[in-house]
Amino acid sequence: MKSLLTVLLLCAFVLMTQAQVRAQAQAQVQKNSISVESVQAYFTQEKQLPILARPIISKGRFVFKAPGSLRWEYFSPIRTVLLMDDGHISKFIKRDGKFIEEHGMGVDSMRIILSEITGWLDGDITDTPTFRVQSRDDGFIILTPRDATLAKIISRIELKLLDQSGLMESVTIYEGPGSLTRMMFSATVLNEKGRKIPQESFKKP
Amino acid sequence: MSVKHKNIVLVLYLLLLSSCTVFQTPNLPEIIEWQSMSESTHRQIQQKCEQNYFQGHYQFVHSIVFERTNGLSTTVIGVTVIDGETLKTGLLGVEGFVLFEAVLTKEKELVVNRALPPFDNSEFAEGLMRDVQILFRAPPDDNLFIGHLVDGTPVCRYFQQEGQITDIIVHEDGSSRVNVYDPSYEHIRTIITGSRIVVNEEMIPETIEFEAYGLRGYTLNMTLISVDKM
Repeated sequence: MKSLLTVLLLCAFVLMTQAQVRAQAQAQVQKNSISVESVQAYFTQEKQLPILARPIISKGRFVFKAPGSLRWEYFSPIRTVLLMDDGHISKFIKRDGKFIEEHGMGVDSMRIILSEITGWLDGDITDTPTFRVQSRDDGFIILTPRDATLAKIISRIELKLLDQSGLMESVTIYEGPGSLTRMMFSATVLNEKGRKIPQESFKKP
Repeated sequence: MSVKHKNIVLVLYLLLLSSCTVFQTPNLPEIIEWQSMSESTHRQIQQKCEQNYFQGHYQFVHSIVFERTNGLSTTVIGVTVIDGETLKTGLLGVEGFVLFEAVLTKEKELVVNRALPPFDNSEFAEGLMRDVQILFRAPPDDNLFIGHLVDGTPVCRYFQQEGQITDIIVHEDGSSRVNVYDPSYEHIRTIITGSRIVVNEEMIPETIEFEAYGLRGYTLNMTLISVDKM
C-alpha cells in the first residue's frame, strides 16, 4: 500500500510536472518550469500476474490540485477513493451504497510517504532519494528504487510520455517476474480553464 | 463497588463470555440416517453437494471484505485459480498491488511467490491456503455419510483422514451452507454461499460469506467480480 501510494502520487506528480519530465528526457533538467494549478485524467489499469489467465481491468480517474490535493478514484471493479488534502490522507470504500473509511493496512505509512512526495513536488525528479531516474530515446523514463526494501516490492517503473504534449501516456509498475500494473491515461486536462476544482473534491465523498 | 463485588462481576462476565463462545461454536449436530432412501436419491443429494465446488480450470476474482472480531475491516481483491489439481491464490490491494501470491501444487507443496508484510509468515500462508481449499475444493468422498438433520434437511457429511468433518447443506435455490469441524468436533468454519447467478453460462454463487471461529476469528465477505472458465 505504501509503495502503491508512492507510485500513484508519483504518477500524479509526473503528469503535473510535464515540462520537468520532458526536460528530464532531454537531460536538461529544469526546475518549476511550468506553473501547474491542476491536472485531471481518466485511466484504465491492467493488472497482470503469472497466476492470472486474464488480466484484471480497473477504471478510474484522478484529480490533482496544487499545491498538494489529490483524489485518486477507482470506479471499478471496487469503488474506492483515496484522498490527500492538507496533509491528511484517507481512503474510502463503497459498501452497500455508502462510502466507508478504511483504517486498514498502510494508512499510517501514507503519512510517511507524503512527506517524501512533498519534496518531489517542490523539486527535481532526478533528486528523489527514492528512485534513480534514467531516460531512454524511445520516450520511456525508467525509475529504479534506490532502497533494497522497496526494490523487493517494485523492481522498476516505466513512464511513457506522449510525443508532443509531454503529458503521460502510460505508467507501468513492475513488481516481479510476470507481475505488472499498467495504467493508461486518457482525456488528460492540465490547468483546466474556466472551472476551478472545488476543494470538496478532496473531502470525504 | 467493593473489591469482592468487582471480582464477582468479573467472574460473571467471564462466564457470560465463555457461554457465548459455546453458542458461537456449537458441537457437531446429529445426523439421522434415512429410513428408506433409493440409490438415485442418494446419488442426487451427493451430486448436489459436489456441485457446490468447481472442477477443471477456473479463474475467480472476488472483492473480499476481511473483518476481524475487533471490528476492523480491510477490503482486498482475491484471485483464485483452480488449475486441475493445482490451486493458485493471490491477494491484491484494491489498487492492484500484489500483497500475497502462492500456489498449492498437486503434490500438496505450498510455494509462496510473493508475501508482503504483514502476510510474510508461513503461518498466514498455510492458514490462507487451508481456507482457500475449504472454499474451493470438495472434500474427499472416501468416507461420506448422507443423512438429514432433525428438521429433515439433507446433509452430506464428509469424514476426512486427518479427523476434520465437513457438513454440506445445499438448498433448492443453489445456495449452500458448509460447516467444518475439527477432530474434537469444534465448529471451526462456516461458509454460506448466496444463490447462484449465470456467468459465462456457469452457475456461480454471487456472494460467499466465510466465517472462521476462535480467538483470532475473522469473516470474509466475498463478492464475485469475474469468473473465467479456461
